[in-house]
Amino acid sequence: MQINSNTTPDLLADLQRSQASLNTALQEVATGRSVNVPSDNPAASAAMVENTIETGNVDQYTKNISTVLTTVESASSALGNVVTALTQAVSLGTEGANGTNSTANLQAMATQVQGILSTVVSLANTSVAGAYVFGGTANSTPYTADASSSTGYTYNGNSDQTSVAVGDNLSIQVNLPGSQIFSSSSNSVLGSLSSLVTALQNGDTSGIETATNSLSSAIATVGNQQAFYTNAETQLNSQETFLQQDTVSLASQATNLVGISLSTAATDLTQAETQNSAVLAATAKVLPDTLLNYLQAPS
Amino acid sequence: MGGLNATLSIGMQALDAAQGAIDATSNNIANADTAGYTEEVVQFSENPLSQSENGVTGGGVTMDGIQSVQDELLDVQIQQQTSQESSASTESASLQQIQTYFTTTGTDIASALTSFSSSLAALSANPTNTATQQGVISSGKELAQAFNTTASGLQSAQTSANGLVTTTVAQINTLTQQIAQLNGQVGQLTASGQNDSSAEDQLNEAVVQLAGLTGVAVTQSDGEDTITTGNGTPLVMGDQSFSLQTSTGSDGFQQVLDSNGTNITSTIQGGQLGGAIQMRDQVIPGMLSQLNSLASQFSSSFNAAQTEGLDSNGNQGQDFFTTSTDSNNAAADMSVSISDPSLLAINSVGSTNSNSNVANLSAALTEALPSNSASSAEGTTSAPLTASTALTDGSVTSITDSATGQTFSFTAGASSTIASLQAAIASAVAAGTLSAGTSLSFNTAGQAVISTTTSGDTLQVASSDSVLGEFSSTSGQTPAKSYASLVFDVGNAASNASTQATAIGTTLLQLTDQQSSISGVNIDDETANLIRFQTAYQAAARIVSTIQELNTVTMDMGSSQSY
Repeated sequence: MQINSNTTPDLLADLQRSQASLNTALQEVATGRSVNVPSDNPAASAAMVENTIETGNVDQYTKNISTVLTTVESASSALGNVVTALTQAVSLGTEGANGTNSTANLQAMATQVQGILSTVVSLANTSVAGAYVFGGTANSTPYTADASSSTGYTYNGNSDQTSVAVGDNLSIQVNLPGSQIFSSSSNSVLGSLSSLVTALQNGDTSGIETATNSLSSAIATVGNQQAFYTNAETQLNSQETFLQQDTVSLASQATNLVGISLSTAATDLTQAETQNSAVLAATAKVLPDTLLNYLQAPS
Repeated sequence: MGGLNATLSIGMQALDAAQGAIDATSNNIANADTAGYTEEVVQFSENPLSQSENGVTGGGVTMDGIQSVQDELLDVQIQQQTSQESSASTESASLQQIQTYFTTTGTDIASALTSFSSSLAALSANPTNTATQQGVISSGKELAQAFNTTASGLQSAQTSANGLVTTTVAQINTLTQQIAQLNGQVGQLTASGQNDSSAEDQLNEAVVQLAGLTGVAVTQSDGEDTITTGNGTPLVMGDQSFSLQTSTGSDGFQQVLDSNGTNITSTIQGGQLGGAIQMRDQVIPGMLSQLNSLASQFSSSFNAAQTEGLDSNGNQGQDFFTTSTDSNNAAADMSVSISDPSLLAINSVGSTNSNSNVANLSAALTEALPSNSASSAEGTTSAPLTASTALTDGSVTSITDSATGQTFSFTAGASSTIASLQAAIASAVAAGTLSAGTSLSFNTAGQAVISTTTSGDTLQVASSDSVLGEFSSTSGQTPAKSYASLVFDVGNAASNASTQATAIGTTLLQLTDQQSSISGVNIDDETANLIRFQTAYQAAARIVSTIQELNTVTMDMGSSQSY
């Protein structure tokens, strides 16, 4: 047995190994990822599939919230304004029903209530970014004047309710159809206002009283609907907070799974570089080293 | 004897011996880098002593011959490790190619699932907007394309493994012919008592090359090698080689046949051929089947959600995805069948919450896919239930539908078989006792398969005294989890194959080092030997010239003109 002098295969293998670890270290620093193909870390790659999808969903849920939050807020504030307008109409009605008003006064009141009616209709037609807030999912103006209708207006929307996905298996209903708020058969805001206008115009005291009473109960109904929006707003806000936390935890999970610590990666790179140059230097030293170098050429 | 002539002959022998040694050394140096070359060492022996009147004198030296230094056990180990290394490398190379399809690139299935899922969430916020509806359709197309690309990536890896089978078999046949020829030469020389180290070296090298192509077993008798595949199919016997053949199998792939035409594909292990066959017939089909069942299960679950709702025109939703009826091409043929955004079934049937079907569509992504296969192989008995399996008279079969809580029972009559049970299930579905989609069918292996749309359904087929089979369809995984487990499998296989290739490569390197230290040429040794034999040659030449001088002196003794 002799000592194997043919070290070339070993040296080549060493060179390849150190070159490979140098490449890996470089790639980690360059991409900021420790897992670039599934075989780098199969378990982390598998976990990243779910992380990626979940991150995408959370992004979209957050976008959904900011989209509908605007709608919900404007619906809520519109309903607030409706309550204010209706309260004004009720006080006009109460004043008109006390029997001491002149016809001219009643006519003036009728005009005022008519104005309130127009305000309420325009609030019912509130739109955000081209979409009508109280029209269900229909794209047409919810209320248009219609002389043939008892209320003087027709509802053109539908009764569709939109539930927006704001979390995995969590949808929040974000709209109420106008027909349920402004023109429900039992407690119609527009109907009561119209009757009040007609009664004031006709000086019909008992009519004024009936209309005023039904208007008062309509205020309560609208108030309830407003509570629905306030409630949705609260839910959306708290879900938004949760999603923000979720985004952070998903991002930190992703970093744990496939990310690198820059300091570790930089240290690894330096080590790999040092090792690579050491192997290269050793190879350069060993390869030309044979007995022939030390023999004198025959004279 | 004795005298100057005897000494001259000693000198001549010494010259010859030194010459032979220099020859051998030069040959060693010349072949220092030749693959398979084993170092040749010159053997000298001392000649018998000769008796003369002056006593006993030496008889000189004889060069007996040249011997190769070999370790046969090491050779066998190197052959085996070469087979394994080459098999692992082939698999690793193919898996490296495959795993790029499972890397997050933006066009892979994970990215497509992400955008499809996001597009559905966006749809829920704005269900009637044509742009968001269109978004769902285009990201659905993206997802179908991602399935197509991944499937075709796997299929092309499979095709290239198949191509490798054909070329490797051709290489094996060329090599076995060479080996048979060399084997014949070595055998003849051995029979005549000669020794040709060069033919043996070439033979060994060719066998190692063959081992890299497929796993081999080598047995030696009478100086001749008999080489078979790992499983015993003869490749070389003496100076005869047996060619392997290929023919196209029923699956369209090349099958490997031995020289008698027997199919030995499944028995081949090791080497490039073994690795290629393993990838083509085991590893890739496993991945494709996971991918196909994900594609078909996800498609049918999303389609079911579509059918549950009404589209914008008030019609029942149509299928969103189309997949091939051939379950082996479900992923490759997946496509989106609707292009009109108004056909998205966003509305629920008969509900005031009419857009809530969007939530059902999203649920197809977040909820577990129905795992709808439980075959009799998974039952408590291994006996497969076939259509003609008789059910014992009076035995009761029951299916509990976990969705409706209803139980379907079937009491077997005198001549009832599994086929009659199959018919009874079909009519129960028609009558609404069992959920639509529940069926009993038979797979290609002839086993009874119960399919349900709801996970958790159980089927029990009982004979009078023993349970024939009990099936419980296990709860499936969400599409994301199911795809994630596929990614894990691919990554794990790629990482294992490359780790294995590296590990065996290291072992092989150590073995080759050992072989080098036994049979390899050490240039330093040879250089030193060269100087030694050069000196020996010079010294022997000096003997000859000295004897010549002495002879001249002796011859001049009688002449008058000298001195």
